[in-house]
Amino acid sequence: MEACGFRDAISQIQDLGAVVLGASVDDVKAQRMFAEKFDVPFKLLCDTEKTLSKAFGVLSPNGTSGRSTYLIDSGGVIRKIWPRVSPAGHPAEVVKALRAL
Amino acid sequence: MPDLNPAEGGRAPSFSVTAHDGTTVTLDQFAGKKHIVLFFFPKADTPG
Repeated sequence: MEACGFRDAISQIQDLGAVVLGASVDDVKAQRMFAEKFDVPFKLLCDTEKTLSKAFGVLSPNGTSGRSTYLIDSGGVIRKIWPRVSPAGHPAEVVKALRAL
Repeated sequence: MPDLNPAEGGRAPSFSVTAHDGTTVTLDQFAGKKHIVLFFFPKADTPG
């Protein structure tokens, strides 16, 4: 599962000067349970008002966030977008892209 | 709110969202300091 993949790659990602943020339209309670259940070592954003998902253009017709990843550099520029993510192997390709920044 | 569909090479839309630990996370707080890997997922209760 994707959050667990990023969890397992977190030290590599942090070493490359990046933070990980997960986001869905779930509320604080659901995100907290999720974070505790899987020992998620990064923040899960509670996009209950869907403003974040809309701003990034990832809101699905069913009202949830489509699986996608944005790599934003420290200057606030989007360097890479993965619009349709399949969880397996995804954290590794994110690490690769971070190395290439 | 318009669907902006940001593109590679463009500026990330600024945001301010509550995190699971009750803190507020903004784009600006990482400016000049950290890169951000922002991943969206459909549902918090996905089985492991």
